Amino acid sequence: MANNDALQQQLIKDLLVESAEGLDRFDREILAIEKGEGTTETPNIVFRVIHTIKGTSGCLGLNKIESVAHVGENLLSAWRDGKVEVSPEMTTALFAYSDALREMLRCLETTGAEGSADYSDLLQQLQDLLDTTATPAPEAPAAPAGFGLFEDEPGTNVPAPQPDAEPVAKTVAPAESDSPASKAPSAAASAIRVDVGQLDKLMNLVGELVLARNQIVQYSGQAKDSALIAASQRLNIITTELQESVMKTRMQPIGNIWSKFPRVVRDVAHELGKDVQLVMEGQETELDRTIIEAIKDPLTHIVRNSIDHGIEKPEARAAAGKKSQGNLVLRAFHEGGQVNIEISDDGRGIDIGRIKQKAIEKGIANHDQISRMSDREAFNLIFLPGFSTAEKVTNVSGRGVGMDVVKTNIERIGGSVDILSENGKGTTLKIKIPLTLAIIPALIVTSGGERFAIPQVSLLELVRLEAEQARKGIETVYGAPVYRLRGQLLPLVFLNQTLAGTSRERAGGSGFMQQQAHDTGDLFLKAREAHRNWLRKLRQVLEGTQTMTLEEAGSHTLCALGKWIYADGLKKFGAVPEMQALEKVHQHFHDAVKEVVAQKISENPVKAEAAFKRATNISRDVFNCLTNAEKRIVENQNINIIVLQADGRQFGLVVDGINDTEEIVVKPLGKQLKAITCFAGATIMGDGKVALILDVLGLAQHAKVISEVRDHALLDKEESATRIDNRQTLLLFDAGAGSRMALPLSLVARLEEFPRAKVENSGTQEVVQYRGQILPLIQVSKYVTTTRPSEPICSDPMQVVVYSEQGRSVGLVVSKINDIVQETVTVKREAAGNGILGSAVIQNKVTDLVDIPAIIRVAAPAFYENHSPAADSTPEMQAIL
Amino acid sequence: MKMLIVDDSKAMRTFLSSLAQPMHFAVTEAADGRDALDTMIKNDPREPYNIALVDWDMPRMNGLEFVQHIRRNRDFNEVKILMVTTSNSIERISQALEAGANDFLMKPVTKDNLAEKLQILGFEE
Repeated sequence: MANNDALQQQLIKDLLVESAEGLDRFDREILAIEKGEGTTETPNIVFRVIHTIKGTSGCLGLNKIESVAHVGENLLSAWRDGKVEVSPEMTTALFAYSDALREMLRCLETTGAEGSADYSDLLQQLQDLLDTTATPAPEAPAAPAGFGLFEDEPGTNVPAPQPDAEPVAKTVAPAESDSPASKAPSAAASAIRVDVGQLDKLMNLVGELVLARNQIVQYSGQAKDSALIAASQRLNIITTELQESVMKTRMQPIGNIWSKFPRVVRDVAHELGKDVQLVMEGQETELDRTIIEAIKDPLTHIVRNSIDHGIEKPEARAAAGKKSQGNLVLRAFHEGGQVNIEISDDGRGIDIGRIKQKAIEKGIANHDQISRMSDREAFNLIFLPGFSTAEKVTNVSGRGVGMDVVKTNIERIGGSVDILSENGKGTTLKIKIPLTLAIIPALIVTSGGERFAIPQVSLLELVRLEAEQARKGIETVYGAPVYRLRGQLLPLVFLNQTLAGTSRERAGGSGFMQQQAHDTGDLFLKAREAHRNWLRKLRQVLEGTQTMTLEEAGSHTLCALGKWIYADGLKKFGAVPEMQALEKVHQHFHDAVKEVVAQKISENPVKAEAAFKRATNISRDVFNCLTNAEKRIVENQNINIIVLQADGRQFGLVVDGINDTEEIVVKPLGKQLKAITCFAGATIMGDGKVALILDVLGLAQHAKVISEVRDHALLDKEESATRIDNRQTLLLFDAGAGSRMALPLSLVARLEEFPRAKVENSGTQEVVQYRGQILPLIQVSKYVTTTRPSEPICSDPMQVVVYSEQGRSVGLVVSKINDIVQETVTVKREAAGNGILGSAVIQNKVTDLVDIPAIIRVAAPAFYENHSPAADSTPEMQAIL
Repeated sequence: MKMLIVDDSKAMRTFLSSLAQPMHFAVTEAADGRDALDTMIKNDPREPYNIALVDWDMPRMNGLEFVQHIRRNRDFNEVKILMVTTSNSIERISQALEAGANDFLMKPVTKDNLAEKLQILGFEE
């Protein structure tokens, strides 16, 4: 019976859902027992889980699951009745048992059959546990019969167990059996089970309703009917509330997926011989179920990874002076309309050296790139495809899924992932994900006459530049347009040019913009002049010094302005309303002019004069139209920059117009359009037209402001702020003969070039005149000991580093200024002495740090006369050491 | 003695319940076949239901389907099932009896005809 089939399918579906929840609960309870945190309720709970599975599968004719469940039920019922003591073997066997049930259920779900896996060993083990520990109660095997099992089996005496069972049931009945019976109806009254598909459908419908609402609201905005306006406002409010409520029904606490982690952590830790304590905070944090589904696997992978690679074995931890038990903390919380999930361990942290080495080995980055990378950038290397730092692939984390998949999966749902680590102290992964995917706030912009939606999550700020400002502010760096926003260079992407496929060389840039504005001004100047000339001619006609045919006078296409309007104006700026107005006014003007000439021909000077007055009046309107049109066109050349963030980097998107923010319903693109990376989907606007949703990351990659392979991520502000303490900005230079030297940039007053001819002598000291003072020059190479022989520097002009202290300056002559770097340096003092403070590895090369006060003391002792240096070395120097 | 009353009408459940309680039955109610099946499955096996009064027409899972499912599980072989029916569904009742229902009771149900059927099914007053 078809009807019966559908019912059976529904029942199986319910069994699967209920059992999955039940078995998770089962695992949690057994885990609690293992930790010694079990309660007297625990045996009841786990018994009920298995009992329900057995009962349901029995009713559905799933005999294999029923019989497997039956064996476990026997053991658990004996435990519940105190006939069996729980032991470590038993908990391990029970975990294996719940996995076996899960496996059968999964098989049922995917194939529709119970599968052919053999669990007889496991079942025997459970039976043995029951038999061995239950020996003090020899009547135990008979107990199930008392519950009404197998009555129809031959050899069981039906009436005999009945009296046995009766007293048991009676004594327990008031406390125990009341609860399930009374619980069932009350739970059923306050909560119901709803099919997920149903909820998805509901969400879709609400999405459609939101679209319809947007249309009505837009329409009623133009209407004058106050009743309609009031009704649409009500509709607006109710729709928003409905949307929120439906969204809420789809929300699930993150604890739902976390609940299996205690088990995962236990298993992985057992397998690897580690001791890990799992702490979970914020389990009640709610997320849309589609997002919950999407982050399930990535989270599991991260947790496994943390235990496998992060947390050390107990001995190693003890040796490092840590508690032998490792800590794994899962934390979830809402912040800024997003959900934050942090997974942190107190393990060994990430070995940055190994990461960098690996990146070079794998050809992901070269030496140069690596040396310039911040720690954080280097950490993020592990998210690159094909990057795995595990020396050997383990069963635990080496399962063919790298961290790149984790990152991809999280980014697919509009989230981001970041990693922080401290060597020896632990690692934290920070994940940010949106609350929901279906309806998102977006900014609507116009470009090339089309509207586009930009998801607000990637929006940082909006910048509007007046045409004048834009001309000055937008610069070109290597052919790429950039804007200097509060001192930071912001790469610009011109949306209409990017989408039109125009090459970047032609796009934007200050030259282009200047030209454009200039051209506009020029063009309108010509138009005004043409009209003025023509007016002059008309006056001459009126005065009789010129003649004009009626045809010439009445034609609005033959005059100079007419030609301008049809050849230039309308062609270039036809879309500008003021331009269209100009065309009409100009036609009127010629009507009036025709009248002037007609009256003139019929020799009626008074009427001709009056007509001329009318014509000049209209002519004033012509000028007004020209001015307004020019103003509008120049205004349109104002630049709207939308500052966006993608993959931790910022860029500016230039659009024609910024309209409004709106809640949009995301509709997926058809598969023909899926391959276009610039778009994340489409939405229907209030007026019923479709707008494409921009994929900010895809757009940035398409416009090549972000490379598709993430070679390095942007250092974020808080990060750089915390790093200021241990990062130094160093000036790198050659002192001569290729010796690499460095000194803190904060000690450098200026970098100067002096032509050799300017050098004079004061006693034995070389000096130059510098800003009205005498600047002693010191050849650095003479005073520092390096392994290489020093040669006098003879470059012309000389490169001089000006060093100032207490109002006095000296010039340090070096052979070449190399670079300015920001790095965390570790100074080895072995090489100290003779003008060298020590050496450090900077940009992968050994570099000596110069001890300037020491050099000055030797080279120009006069410098410190009357002023003894505060300390052996300056505070800046001290900071490095 | 434990009794499960399965009927989608709340009024009917209350009425049947009011008849059964004076006869010393501990009564649980279920709103349809699914609900009844769940209640049976989740019941503590040490305190099994002795009898179920089952209506025929119910949403989600009707009386016949309930009987079919419950009888598939040997654990529930012992529970007596009494189908409650109207005269026009009497032909379908035979299907339920075939599937494993023990007896049927014609509506309208009265104290007397219920007591009589219970007695036939082996429940003493």
